[in-house]
Amino acid sequence: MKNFKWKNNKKCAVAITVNLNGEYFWLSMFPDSKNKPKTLSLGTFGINVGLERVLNVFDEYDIKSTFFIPAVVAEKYENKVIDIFKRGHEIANHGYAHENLALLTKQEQKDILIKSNNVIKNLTGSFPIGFRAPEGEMTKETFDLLEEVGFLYDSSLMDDNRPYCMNIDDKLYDIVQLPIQWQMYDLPYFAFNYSPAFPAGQGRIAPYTDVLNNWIHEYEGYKNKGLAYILQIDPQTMGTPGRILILKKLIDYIIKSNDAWICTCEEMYSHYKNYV
Amino acid sequence: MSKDFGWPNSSKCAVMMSFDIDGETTWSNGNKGYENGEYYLKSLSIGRYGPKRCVKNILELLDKNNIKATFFAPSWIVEKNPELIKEIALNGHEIGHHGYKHERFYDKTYEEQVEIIDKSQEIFERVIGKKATGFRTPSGDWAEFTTKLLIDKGFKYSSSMRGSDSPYKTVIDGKETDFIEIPTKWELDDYVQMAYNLFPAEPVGQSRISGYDSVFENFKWEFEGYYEFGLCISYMFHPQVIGTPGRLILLDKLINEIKSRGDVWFATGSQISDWVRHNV
Repeated sequence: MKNFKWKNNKKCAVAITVNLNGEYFWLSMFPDSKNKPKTLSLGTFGINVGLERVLNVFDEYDIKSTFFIPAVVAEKYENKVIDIFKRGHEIANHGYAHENLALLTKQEQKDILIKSNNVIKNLTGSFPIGFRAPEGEMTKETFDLLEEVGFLYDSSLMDDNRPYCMNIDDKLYDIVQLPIQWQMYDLPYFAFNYSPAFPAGQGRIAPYTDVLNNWIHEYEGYKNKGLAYILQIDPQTMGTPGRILILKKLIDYIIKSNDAWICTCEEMYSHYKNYV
Repeated sequence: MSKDFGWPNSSKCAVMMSFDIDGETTWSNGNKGYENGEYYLKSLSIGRYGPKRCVKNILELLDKNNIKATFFAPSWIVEKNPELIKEIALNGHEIGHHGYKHERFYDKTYEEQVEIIDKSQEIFERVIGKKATGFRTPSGDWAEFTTKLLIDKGFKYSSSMRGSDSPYKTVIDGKETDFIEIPTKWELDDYVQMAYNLFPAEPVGQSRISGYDSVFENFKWEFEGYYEFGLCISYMFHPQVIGTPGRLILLDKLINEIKSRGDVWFATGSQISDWVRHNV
């Protein structure tokens, strides 16, 4: 794309996005855990404790973020989600109960998208324009539905480091893809439980310094190449007293570089749309 | 393994930078256990990232450092990305065989292996105008008879085994042949340490993505050892893994540290196997 520039002539764009999965991360992966309060408390920690820590960091640095929220979380913790919205953040769709969409029929997927959009509209007054597939998979059907339901961007795929227009099997979509990468998501590094076991092989919790360094190395690479750095965090893993400091150090680093346009997914989408 | 031969230009050690452009193939193979798993777009996108975005950045980095590398590509990837593969070849890099869709040769009959090889060589000829002479076995083992088949099909070398720290002449039925093996190692493989997916899980135990600094330190430790003992180190990278913006900076740094030793021979699989064939 010729003459493409990020806003304010910054070298790169940075979106620090939140997946507010709560206990539905565990419930969607291990349905049996509905009777396991200890396991579920790993998730509710994110909403009851971690969330406020994350929001306070955003306020402190004057950062607006995009929150991908399973609609059932928005129903169950309505006041929390209204607070997120009132503090200036974007609310986007992340399924109803954090379903693994590829395992469902097309109709089931459609029902979920519409139902969850309605829940969000009831809280914010407007339909979300963005979608991120819950952990799990999606197929071409999912994208056909995203377009049909009216989403403008999706942030689920991992095949690039910059926004692009969706094209699957030579079908062009109006949806813009804001790609993500696993190594820039705290949850795979930090989530842990003995029973049900996560990760499956119960690998050790990653060293915090390694995670911060990986994120900084990637930031340097994204900055040098003028790309869109999209971080994902879940307050249940990022919001511990120690790990919130990782987030602060990363943001400090990015802000000091003075090379990044820090934006929401909606802002990134709108900016990109000007060029296509 | 003891080593009693030297490298060209009195170099102390040889370095083979190899890149397996597996793209979507490993993911569509790995997801076959799930209904419609071959069409799971998230995991496929992890693979596509390699040919779509990373290979070009790697070519740029190799060019900047004046290094010729070896790319092993399933011929399905060659078919789907002909312009990219031509660009790799035009830049003077070697392209080797890596199955059609990254099949595990161990599970294939003799006839099936012949079919995969013949089909792939046709695609190579069509896209880059020549057949592959190097072979890296995709996903795991090959069959006992595969070596002999590769020789019959005109391959000159393989880079598949783990049993040595330097290239050697393959022995078949007690007789040394001209078919060279350039072994590589898991500890020199980026995939083992940094590839990840949550569902379907990769690795199966969902182990963590390693800290980059530790990974590259390991790579450097091994180089120091191979250099010290005068061997041939064969790094096995995957564009979809090594090609992220952050990791490429560290790869560049590793290459520069290796180059700063001065007496190191960076070479392709063909160059290394030719040398070994004639000088050992």
